[in-house]
Parts: sequence; C-alpha cells; structure tokens
Amino acid sequence: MHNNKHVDIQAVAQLAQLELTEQQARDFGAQLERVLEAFAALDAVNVEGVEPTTHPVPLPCPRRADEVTPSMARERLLDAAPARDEASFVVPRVISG
Amino acid sequence: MSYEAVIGLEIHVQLGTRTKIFCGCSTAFGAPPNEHVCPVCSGQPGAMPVLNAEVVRYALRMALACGCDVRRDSRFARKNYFYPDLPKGYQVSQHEKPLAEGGAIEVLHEGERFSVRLNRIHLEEDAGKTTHDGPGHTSLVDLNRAGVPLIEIVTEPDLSDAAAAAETMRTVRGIVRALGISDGNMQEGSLRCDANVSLRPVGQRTLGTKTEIKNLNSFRFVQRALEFEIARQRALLDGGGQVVQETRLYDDARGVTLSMRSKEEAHDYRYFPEPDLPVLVIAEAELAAARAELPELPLARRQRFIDVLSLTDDEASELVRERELGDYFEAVVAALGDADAREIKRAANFIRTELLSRIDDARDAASARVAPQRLAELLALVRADRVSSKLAKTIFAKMWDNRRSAEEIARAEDLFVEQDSAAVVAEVERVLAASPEEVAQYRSGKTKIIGYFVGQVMKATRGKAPPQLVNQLLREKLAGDD
Repeated sequence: MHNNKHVDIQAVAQLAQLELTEQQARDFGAQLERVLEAFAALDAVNVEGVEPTTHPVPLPCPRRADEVTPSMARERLLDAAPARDEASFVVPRVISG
Repeated sequence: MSYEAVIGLEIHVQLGTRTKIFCGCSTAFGAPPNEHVCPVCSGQPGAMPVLNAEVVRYALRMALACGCDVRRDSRFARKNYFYPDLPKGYQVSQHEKPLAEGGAIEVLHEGERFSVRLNRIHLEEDAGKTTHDGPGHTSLVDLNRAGVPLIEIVTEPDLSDAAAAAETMRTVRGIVRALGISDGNMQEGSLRCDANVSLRPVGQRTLGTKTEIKNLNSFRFVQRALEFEIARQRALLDGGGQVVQETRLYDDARGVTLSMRSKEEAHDYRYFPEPDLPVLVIAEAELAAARAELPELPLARRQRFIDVLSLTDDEASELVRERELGDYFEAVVAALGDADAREIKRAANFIRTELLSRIDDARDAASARVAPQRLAELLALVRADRVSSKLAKTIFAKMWDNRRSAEEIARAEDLFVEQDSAAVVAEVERVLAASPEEVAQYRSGKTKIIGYFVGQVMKATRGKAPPQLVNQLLREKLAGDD
C-alpha cells in the first residue's frame, strides 16, 4: 500500500482511534515519514553505554502530604463535557449489548 | 492426556490513603459521581501531578513485607490507551523500573504451606468507573476513582489450581489489612485481580498458550472463573483444538468466561517515561523506617499462637483472620496474667464462639461491646472456680447487653458457684431420691446415665453447683447402696 519506511500509518491511526480516508492516509503518512526522517538524524549519534535520560533535571520526585484539598465544583467539571447527565459524563456506549 | 494448570495473578490493591495518588482529591468510597475530581485527576491541560508521600510509605511496607528488592530509583511511565474512564488517555504506572521486584507471598492452603513468588510490585493510578446503563445506548462515566492509588502485585506463574489462587488472594487481603495499607475489600473494588492461566501436559516444562481473565472481584469469582477456564482449555486441547491467547471476562450469572474480542485489537501501550514525575528516589533512612513499621504478618502470628500459646491450627487460623481479632485475643491473654494453656484455650474458644457470634465482621473486635479486659475479668472468675464455664456464657451475654462487669452481674443475678457444699450435697441426695429407676439403671451397669443426674442437679441449682463436686458426690452416692 504505502511504502513508508518508518511508519505504518493505519496502525498509528488505529491506536489514536482515528479513521483515515485513503487520501488522508497517503498525505499524513508521507508527512509523518518526513518528520521521522528528520529525527532519524539522531540515529547517527553513538549512545553506547549512555543511560537513557528520562528527565533533564536530576531531581527526586517531590512528594506532598496526604491531605485532602478541595475538588472542582462538579457543575463546572461536567459543563466542560460534550454530554452529561445530572452527575456523570455521558459517552457512546462502550460495550456491546 | 493429563494436564496441569499454570496460573499467575496480577493483583490490584487500592491503598487506603486519604487522598489520590497525584492530587488532593478525597478517595472516600461511595460519594455521588464526580464529587472528588479536580484538574489533575480529570486530565485537564497543564495540570501537574504531585506524588502522595503516604502512597510511597504504604507501597514500601508491602514490598518489605513480601521480601522484595526495593529499587532506589524507580520511574513512572505512561501507559497509553483509550477508554472513557481514563481521562488523560494514559494511565500513570511504572514499567521498566518498578518500585520493587522479587519477593514472595507465603500461603497456607489445605494445611500446606507454599510460596508464590512475586515478579514485581509497582505503583499506579486507578481509572474511573464506567456504567453501561445510560439513556439511549450510552455509558456513564464517574471519575471519583480516577487517580486512586494502587499497587499492582504481579506473581510468577507458581499456582496450579483455582482454590489455591483464591487462597492467595485471601492471603494478600490478610497481609494488606495487617499492614494497615488497605481495607482489602473486594466488594468495593479495593482488591481485585486478573488471572493468567494456561495448561501444559504434566511433566512438560514449556508453558502452553495462556488466556487472561480480567477484573475478578471476589474470592469466589477467582476460583470459579479459573475452574471454568481450566476446564474449557482442557476440553479444547483434548478435542485437538488450540487455545487462543486472548483476554476473557468472567460472567458469574452464567458461570463462564467470555472472550473480549473487541479489546484484542493492537495491544500496544507505547509506554514511555512520565515527564511530569521525576525519578522516585527511596532513601536508606526511608527504607529503614518502613522496615521498623512492619507488624507481624498473619501467618507468622498464627505460628506463634500455635508454638507459644499452644493453640490448635484451627483456633490459630481463625484468630489471625483479622488483625483486630488477634489483637483482642492477645489483649485478653495479657490481661489474664500468667494464664496456662488451658486458660488460653478457654479464652480462644470464648472469643471464637461468644464474641464472633455477636459481631458481623471480625474486624469489629476492636470496638466490641465487651472490652478484652472485661472478658479477662470474666475468665478469671472461671479460673478461680467462682463461675462455671456454662454460666460464664450467660454472664457474657449480659455484659454485652448492659456493659456491666462480670463480677457485678454475677453478684446481682446470683450466678456465683455454690460455695456451700452442704447445699450441694442436699441437692444431690434429693435428685437421687427422686429418680429411683435411673439409680437402679446406673447400678446395673449403665453408668452413662450419670449425665442425667448431673443435669438434674445443675438444673435445680441453676448451673451454680461446681460440676466437679457434683460428679464426685454422685459417684460416691451411687457406688454406695443407700
């Protein structure tokens, strides 16, 4: 189908829960391919024996006391959702049956 | 062909902290939907997580209790997937460098003690709750549970039958309760597990294809689901078929596991280090403090009750079932002073029958209407032969109802053992005189009938006659021919 070296665009789309048309798959596939090619420059760097950096600043994870702080007003929270009922977010049914 | 099952568990324990793992929202169970939600746990843009210190303390306690190696620099990672109850589109978990690895859980099942080795224990956040009864083919999402702290305990595939797996879950509940890190309540979802199970011909070392049964939330379900799944796989293999590696759900109404085909597509979680949470560093002092906080675990306590207090296996098992019950028992024994084995056993039996029949949950022993000291006072009266064992139960019932002391009740209701032996002699003679037929039977060799006389005397003295004296008097009088 698409001769992308780095990316299976349909698999990526499926993980992102996106439905792509053939045209979109071609367009985005090619664009993503170019992005990844640019990053491929990093492959040239020799990182043998280098510990992967997960965080740029070597700080230990800060911790907070186990004390309750106020939550959000529920109305505000629910109003931000596309669909709601009295107390819950409403989404398309996610199981069959 | 004969097969053996190979079972591993992924056990989720909700930690009993007051607040969620990365925000200050309350974790209280049973609030109206979406009451305990903030920008962090609902995944609002820009909101930053801050780790709850208590979560680390609790998780360390579990790791040390299981003898795990604690990693001094563990990492958080994002596990990416889409589901409506996961507001951020990823779950913060630990992947490549979990908090703890190795260790084991000691399980006692059907009299046999065995070890279930652990692969790892890591920290993660819980997801929200989805219910599927919304109007017009919708689902409803409640995010109160989103961000509640969990530890996931992953076992090695060391289990080979369903009942042992269920017992392992019970053991985990006992441990987390003893540690005070979770209520371990399966009905409320504080303790649940996924079970991986495969079959292989007996004697074969390589593992067969496994299935994973998701979200088992009662001990009974763990056992039944595994029993069904083992039978299903056996039938498949016997019929020449193959097990398909897949995720399955247990449907208790039908007693079957069902394939979750919809979830099978592309399980690719694309884990990567959580940029919002730096490395979780555990200091030596912190480890030492956690170690110092470790209480005795239920199995060790059970063994001590057997070895030191001379209880039977059954007595000990029951008394260590909940920490509070074991504490109650030990408080009674301590208050009794230097009790001998017989008195300790009497205390154990009293608790098992009289106390446990009056509380719904053994954990309620901590707030029982009769405090351990009060029960010890009652048992001290039995020890001094001032109250009979039988009347002790009556007295306990009254103590339970009106919270008075054993001494007060025995005095007020005249329940002390009859100390006047002349009165007992008179009663014994009266009973024998009133039962000439039974006396003749006894003398013709039916000595078991002595129980009848004892009963009559006890009845007449309202249980207050000292049983030993009654027995002795009866034997003497019946042996003579007057």
